[in-house]
This record gives sequence, C-alpha cells and structure tokens, in this order.
Amino acid sequence: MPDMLTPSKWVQSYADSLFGFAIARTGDRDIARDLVQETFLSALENRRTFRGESSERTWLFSILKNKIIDHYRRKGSERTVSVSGDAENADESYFFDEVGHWKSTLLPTDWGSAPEEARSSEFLETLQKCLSRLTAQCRGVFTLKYIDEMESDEICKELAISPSNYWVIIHRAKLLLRNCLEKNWLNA
Amino acid sequence: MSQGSHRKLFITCQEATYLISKDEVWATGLLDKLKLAVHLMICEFCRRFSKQTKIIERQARHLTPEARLSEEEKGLMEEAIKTKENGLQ
Repeated sequence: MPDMLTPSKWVQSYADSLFGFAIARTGDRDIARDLVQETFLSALENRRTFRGESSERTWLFSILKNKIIDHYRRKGSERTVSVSGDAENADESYFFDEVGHWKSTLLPTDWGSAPEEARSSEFLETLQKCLSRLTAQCRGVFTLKYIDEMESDEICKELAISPSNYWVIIHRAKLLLRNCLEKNWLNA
Repeated sequence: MSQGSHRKLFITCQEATYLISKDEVWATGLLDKLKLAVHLMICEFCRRFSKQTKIIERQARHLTPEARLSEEEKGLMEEAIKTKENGLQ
C-alpha cells in the first residue's frame, strides 16, 4: 500500500532522529549521513513491502538498523592497522606485561565517588568520544551489545564472528573504553 | 586463556579481566568463576576494572548525542529522494 507512505516528508520528519541513531552507533558524521540517505533510497525501492503493520517511522528505523549491521560487517572484514603505542588501536596485550599483570603505567586508578557522577553529561560525552576512537568492529560489537542491548549470540550471527572472537573483542573494547575514560574524564 | 590455565588456580590480570568482560552466566564455567573470585580477593586493580566497566555498561544505554543535519544536507537528501522516486515511476 504505497499511499500509506509519504516520502516527500521523510527528511523533514525523520532525518534527524535517524541521523542521531546512526551517529551514536558509528561515531562518524559522514558515515551516519550516508547511511540515512541509503535508508531513504532503499525504503523507496522497497516501498511495496511496507504493509502498514508498523508505523512509517518504525519501518525506516528497521531499514537503518540493517544498514548499520552491514556497515559493521564490512568494516569487520577490513584489516585494521595497529599503530604501536597507540592505545586506540591496541589489542588487549597492550595493557599487560609479559606475565599478564597490569603494566605499571596503565594500572586502573580509584574512581572514588565516580559511580554517582557517571550520569553527568561530561561522562557521557567522553564515553561517546572514546567509543568513536575504537576500531569499527570493536565499536560495532560494543554498541550492539550495550546500547542496542542485543543478545550476544544474535550479534555473533549478524556480524558473522565466532563466540570466542566476540568475547575477545568485548574484552578489548572494555579495556580501551575504561582507560580512555580514566584519562579523558576522570583526570580531565 | 592460555593453554596451561586449566590446571592452575591463580590466573593473571589479563585472564581475569577477560573473565570479567565475559559477564554472562552461560559463558563462563564454574571453575573459571572460582578462579576469578580468588583473583579478585587479592587484586584491587581487577576489582576496580570490574566495578568501572559495569558503570560504563550501565551508562552506555543513555547515549543519545544531540546531532543534527545541516539544512544543506537535508536539501541534498530531499533531492536524492525526488530523483529516485521519479526514476522508479
């Protein structure tokens, strides 16, 4: 039922919320904008599949979600270049010495009363920045799990990664995010 | 986890933080849970890691950045939609 859709009003009505959703998940303005545009174009191509069971808005969001997953999947298969000493691109061994203990320069410090302050907008802003510095695959997995609250096995399936690889990525993401927040939020 | 880790009770911080990150009930075995508990009793740094990553997980849900597209970007999108619509008709 094509007449239930109003493409001429899509940009005005939904572009900003779709864009906000995409940028929170990709951390990249240009990529987010392109994904929103692709969403509108795909929606037009597939307008006949819209049955009116969900709202136009829900339908557009579900298309965008698939675009984002495709984006992560593409990124995951790209090799990421690790720059030595650059924590943003480091793997988990960056944080530990040869015997698996925390490196003395990277020991987690006491955050004190941080749990109560964590709700502050500065914390969330820094978290957003730290998230955008992760590699695309790391960011994608973390975002699907903790922002979208998707199930782990579902994420593995969607991104075509093995469970053991998945936990390694989660471990890496948490090490990097914690360290980044400590440096840029706690000690800012 | 390294090969010999199944036999020893004491694990490294690298192994402990991996188990902490793998925070789902079904994903970690009983023996690993025990090893982690022993490690956390003696390692304040991994205790901090555990506490702080839980804060991060909880707060991640509140991430909704105030991002807006410019009028120019929106204009370009509207044009692209119109062109596509005409092409499909």
